[in-house]
Amino acid sequence: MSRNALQKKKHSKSSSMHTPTPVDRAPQSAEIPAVATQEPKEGHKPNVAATERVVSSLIGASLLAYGVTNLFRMSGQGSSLASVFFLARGLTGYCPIYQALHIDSTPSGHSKNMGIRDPRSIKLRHTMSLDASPQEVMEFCRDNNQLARCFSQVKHVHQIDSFHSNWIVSDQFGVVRFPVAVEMTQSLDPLSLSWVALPVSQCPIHGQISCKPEPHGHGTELTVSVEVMTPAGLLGKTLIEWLSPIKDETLSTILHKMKQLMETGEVSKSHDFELGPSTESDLVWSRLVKNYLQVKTIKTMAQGSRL
Amino acid sequence: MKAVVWHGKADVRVEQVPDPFIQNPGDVIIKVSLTAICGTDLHTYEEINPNMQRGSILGHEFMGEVIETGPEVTRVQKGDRVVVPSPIACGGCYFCKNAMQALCDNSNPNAVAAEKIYGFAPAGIFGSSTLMGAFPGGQAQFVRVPYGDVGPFKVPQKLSDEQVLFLGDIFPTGYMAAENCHIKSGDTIAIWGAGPVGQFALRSALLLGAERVIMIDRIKSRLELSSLRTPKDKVFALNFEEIDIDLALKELTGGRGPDACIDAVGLEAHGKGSWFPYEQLKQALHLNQDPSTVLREMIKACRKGGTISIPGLYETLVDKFPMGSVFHKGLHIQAGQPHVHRYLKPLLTLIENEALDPSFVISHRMNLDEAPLAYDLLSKRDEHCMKVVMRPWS
Repeated sequence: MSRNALQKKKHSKSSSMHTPTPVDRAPQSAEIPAVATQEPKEGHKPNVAATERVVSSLIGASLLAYGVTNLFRMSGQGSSLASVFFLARGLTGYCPIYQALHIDSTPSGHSKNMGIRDPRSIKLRHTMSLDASPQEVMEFCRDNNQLARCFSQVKHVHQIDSFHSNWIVSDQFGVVRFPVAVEMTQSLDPLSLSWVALPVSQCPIHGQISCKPEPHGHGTELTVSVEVMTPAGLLGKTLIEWLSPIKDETLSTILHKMKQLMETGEVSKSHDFELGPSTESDLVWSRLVKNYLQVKTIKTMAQGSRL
Repeated sequence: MKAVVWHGKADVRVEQVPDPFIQNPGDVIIKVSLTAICGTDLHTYEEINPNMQRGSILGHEFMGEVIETGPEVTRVQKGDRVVVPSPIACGGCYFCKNAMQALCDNSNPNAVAAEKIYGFAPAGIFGSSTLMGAFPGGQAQFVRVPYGDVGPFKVPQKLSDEQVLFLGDIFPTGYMAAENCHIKSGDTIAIWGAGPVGQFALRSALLLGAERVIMIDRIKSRLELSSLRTPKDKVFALNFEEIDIDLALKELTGGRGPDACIDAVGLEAHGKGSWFPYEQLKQALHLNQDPSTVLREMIKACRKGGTISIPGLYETLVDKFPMGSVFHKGLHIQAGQPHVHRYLKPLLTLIENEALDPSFVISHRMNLDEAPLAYDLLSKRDEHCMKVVMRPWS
């Protein structure tokens, strides 16, 4: 039975058993938050380039030939098994390993930056409720000096005009400092704005902030999305995800601080947590080294993406 | 200043540490007049809590005098005598505004780490692990208290320190545990653990209208304390090392089971039978497993449609949790740190009206310098050691 037929059958069964009410009706596509929507599953769509398919087929044939002639040895049996994978990969053009790693070396994959060496993006997205009106939240987001208090890495913000500012970014100990020039764009929706780090900053990062009122209160649901382009394909992306502070936790920390500032007027501080235990000075050194590595990684990444 | 500093398993020292200072405009500094050791501090002492930083100042039960206030503090002033709630609440978030201060969104500076484990972060707590913000605790001569307009609670001079100290943690913990049972007239409540929280839960349950309260423990002096100033026909004490608890509870409730069960023990539960050594082994190996002995007993014993109330602390995962029983018996589970701020006024009124004098749980009075001895006594579950209070300035 085809998938469509199955879906139709499921639909008819459910509709015969349960009449949708205005309350429990299925949400329309426009109502589903972007974060909840996922790429449709592509099934076994080819994801291996033509040249790779030929190479895979040749490797598969060679392994099979070795396997058949040595069928009663362990090496021959192993070779025969491996040949199945390579032959299938070559003949069908579909590789399950590629699919698991989100790699597509076909021309259509390259067009979506899914090739092995294509630049990849790290996408972060976080939503948080704030006890303030959407207008107040947007006002806070447009005030760079207030906003900068949420970033432990930002030492100073120089406002150039209403839409341009220069952010001085540093590590915790001030070992590495570099400026990031930011341009803010106000969209038609007054409760949304976008920002991008200008190319001169060597930091290929951009993002969006959007607010909407909470359904049953006077608070705001704030959604922040950030996208960073990384060089060197999947390997570069993986390394940057491990080494740099561009992570979900960083975005979450920033939003927590923003919430604290908006709801209480101060950022929560704990002496121990901020400074670390005084009895274990080695931890401070490890933090220093880690910070240095993180900032160096961002700078290297930025230079790489320019190249 | 002098403070009780944790250095590792069974290693607390009284040391000279830097004085706290105002870090935020809403902070106040308290000169501690009386502090206590809680069961939660014992979890840290015994290194059951894996996220504690060495060098941390312990203690979340303390009171004292306000000696310094931040520029934005208006509700307390220098010289005020205050009790400080153990959870730190900002007063401005959704949870604080809805009287769920232990779930405060903003007070925990390390919320992101707690979110990784729990999904959402609880409030910061004094003298606690990094997951709860690693705030320096109250077993010290001075403490920095954030959100000075929200937490510190002024207490009348006519009441002694010992009478009001426990408003900051264990009294509201016991009271909330009983309140969570939604007690109706004629109800029977079973309480596992006759320690200080269990004692307050017992008395709170009686105040809230329980007909019978059954205390379960293995330490005789604690079971005996249950009968102190409580009606003899309403309070029953069971020693789980001597009798079969499940059978005894059925007998005492006409075969129906208690209407609600309170776990005033948490993650250092003792038990008997084959489960107990198995759970001790998992805990010793740091397998992130909290013991489920008491939880399993409660869930089995509770009547159908009853309530399981859990004021005892749990940190990680619980193995062999009888979810099938919870489902098929239609049990309600209520748990969590106490929303201390919510209970300060009503419980102070109870003390003022002499309905309850919380100082009855104190068994030892010591100086701060004697803290290592106090921890040692408590960790050995000394028969006569119930609650230790310490004076940092004597």
